[in-house]
Amino acid sequence: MKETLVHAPWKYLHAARPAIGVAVGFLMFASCLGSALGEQAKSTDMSVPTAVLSEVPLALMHNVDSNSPVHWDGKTLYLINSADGHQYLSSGPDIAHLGYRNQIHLGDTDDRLYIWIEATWKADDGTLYGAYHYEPDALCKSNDHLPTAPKIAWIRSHENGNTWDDLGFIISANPSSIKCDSASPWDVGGTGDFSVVPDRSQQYLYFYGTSYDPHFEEQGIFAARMRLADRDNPSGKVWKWYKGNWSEPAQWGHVTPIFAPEKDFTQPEGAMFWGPALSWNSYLEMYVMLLNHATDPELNADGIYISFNRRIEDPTGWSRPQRILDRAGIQKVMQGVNLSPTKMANGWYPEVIGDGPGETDSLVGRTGRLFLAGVSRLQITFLKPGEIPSVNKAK
Amino acid sequence: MRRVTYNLGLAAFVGMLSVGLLSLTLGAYCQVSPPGAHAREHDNGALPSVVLKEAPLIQMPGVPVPERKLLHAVDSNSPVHWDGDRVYMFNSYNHPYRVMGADIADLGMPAPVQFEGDGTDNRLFMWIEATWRDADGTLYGAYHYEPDTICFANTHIPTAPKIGWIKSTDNGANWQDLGFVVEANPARIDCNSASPWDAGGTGDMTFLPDRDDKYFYIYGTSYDPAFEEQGIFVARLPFADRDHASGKAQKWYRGNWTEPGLWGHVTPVFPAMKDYTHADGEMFWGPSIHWNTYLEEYVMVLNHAVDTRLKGGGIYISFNRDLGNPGGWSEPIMILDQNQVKKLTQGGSAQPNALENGWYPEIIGTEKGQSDRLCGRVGRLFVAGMSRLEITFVRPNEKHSTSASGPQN
Repeated sequence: MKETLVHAPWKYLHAARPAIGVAVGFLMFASCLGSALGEQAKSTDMSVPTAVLSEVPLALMHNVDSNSPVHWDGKTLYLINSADGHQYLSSGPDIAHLGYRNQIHLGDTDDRLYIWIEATWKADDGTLYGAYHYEPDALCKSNDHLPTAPKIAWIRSHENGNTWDDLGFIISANPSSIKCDSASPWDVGGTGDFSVVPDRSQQYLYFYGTSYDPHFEEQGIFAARMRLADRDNPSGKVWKWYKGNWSEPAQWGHVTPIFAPEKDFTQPEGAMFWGPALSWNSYLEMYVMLLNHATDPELNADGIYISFNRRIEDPTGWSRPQRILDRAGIQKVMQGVNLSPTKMANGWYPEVIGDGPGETDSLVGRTGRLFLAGVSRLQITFLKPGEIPSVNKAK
Repeated sequence: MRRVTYNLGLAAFVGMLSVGLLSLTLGAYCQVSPPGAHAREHDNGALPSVVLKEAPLIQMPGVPVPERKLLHAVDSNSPVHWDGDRVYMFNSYNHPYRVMGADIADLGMPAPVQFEGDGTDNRLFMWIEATWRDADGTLYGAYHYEPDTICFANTHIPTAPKIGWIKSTDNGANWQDLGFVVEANPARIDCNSASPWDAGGTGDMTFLPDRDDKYFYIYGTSYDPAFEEQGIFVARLPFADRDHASGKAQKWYRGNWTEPGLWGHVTPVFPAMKDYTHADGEMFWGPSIHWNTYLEEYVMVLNHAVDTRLKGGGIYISFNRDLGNPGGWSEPIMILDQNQVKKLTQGGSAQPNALENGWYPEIIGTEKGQSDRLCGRVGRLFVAGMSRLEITFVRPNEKHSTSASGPQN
């Protein structure tokens, strides 16, 4: 999470529901037109879906500084936003009609610290589970929050996220694996900026996040998994994907990146994918990952990328990330909103939120809202391989 | 050197109690040391002695903690300095507070100090444990910082403290943070430690300059998971680097100042007797040191933990003529046993652990200009922020008469 001290005054705006299938030409992209980044991604034998972006009326979340998980309870949608190191809960009938936000209570110590809830998962019995990104203070420099080295903890709520039980840390890097003279102003190590989804058979929860390890070979998008059966007592039971196996302890263990950096993140020219947001796409019957792509250690972006995978348990199965929005496209989306310069320029935290009943940030159908930094002016329509883009269908 | 024979020393020492409940005299080192112990390079082996005498209560203002119904919480060493006719003291409980007055028995209301910057230090748990005032009036200090959630989410402890360096130009109302100067490798933690307080780290310290103003010597406590690095450690910071201190301190290791203050190893000045990570851990911790103008020696008082919860096993004292010679400290000798400690803290309104165990023993000179780092023949002995004892130092071979110490019980 970045910009922990940014305070952006927000005026909540209601937006009309998107007009499905109405495409406006300037923002239509097919993933096959993307750039050739992500060379470490294994090629797959499947045909790759495409995504079409079309303009829709503005929808805004509250202030956002991470992925923003969504869940439903009956006909009420709940959204958790995290910003300035604190977490907020809002609810409403859909993502475009949310009420005022309330600050979440995590715990006496947690509430004093900088924490971002980045993923939730609701069990059949109504229990809401979640995971947060925690940034320790004063890691390299006294009296400074940044740079930090995030770690990930697991939480549980019986009241839709208003209060939580903290079940402990589940994913962290070795605390001595930091580099205080890194060029990054944000991260000198650690693992965070992540997303969580279950596999189709509900055996495991899969964590895909960002490794800021000082070692080039361990930087980039990492994966870890936890047995669903361990969700009430998970600490020490999560495993990182390393050299082709789920073999490394998630606490202090090594990682093999799914998408390795192009250039060392600790150097001024560092370049890598970060901050994945995952969803199961019921129309494609595939998992979809949206990604930031940083072109320097300050995390300046050259665009938003997408990748697909039929089997989340196979980290090698992700398609090569393709750009769906370039930097100019990001800035066009962000135009006119009142956010920090870095958000306005880079559109951090791309995520798709399904626009159908019951859909969320982790469950999307044929169409959804594409949010950048909590701002949505685009509908995203997923097309199966070979399917004609909806804009043509609409015509 | 292991201090597995303290009980023998204590037995010899207790026999030397002089008149009154809390009036006692330490004999020469050789008289109380068990066979086989050695004087560790201390001059001719003759040590000073001290006389403790009951005196009216002096209560440090401490920190009010309403949620615990504590009026005078004192949770670390409490440094003192003077500016003209005014004395300043810092008491800490998660955050440092400053008090001032005409003397240490007449101090005002505590006010929280402020750290400059974006507010990070003000949000974190920190204790100012030592200060030193420069000739130009600049006040330097060192704080003990306890990172949160080192082992477990949503919990402050166990932690792994580290030491930061600060300075103030307004007698400590506001501080500029100059960075960390002493810390352990962050991977050197043991989250399975039996200690509820510390899984690693270095803190609970004091510092003061040598007589030549060449170095500041930082004596503190190492809670390292490795037994051989547990106990009282020392590091030194060049005096000339006091305005740019971070990264300049060196730890004493295997007889030399060779290890970096940040992440380096230590060789304890007083090693742990039993592994602190185990329930029956035993070691000295939390040193407080002053230069004694009467003895012309440095004096260290120490907590002695007899388990890993830091249950008190009495208050100890050690002497050294040369602050820069970690091998020169005399064998610590008990000056108060645990029963005496409990009597001293009866009726206190500090944390029950501190009162019960007599944490944070500290000698503070009572004359104008004296402090926790400078004392003469007579001072006050505080434990847990309370003083009911006057301490009188007696030179080696000096004949001490009880009458000279004033009226006894």
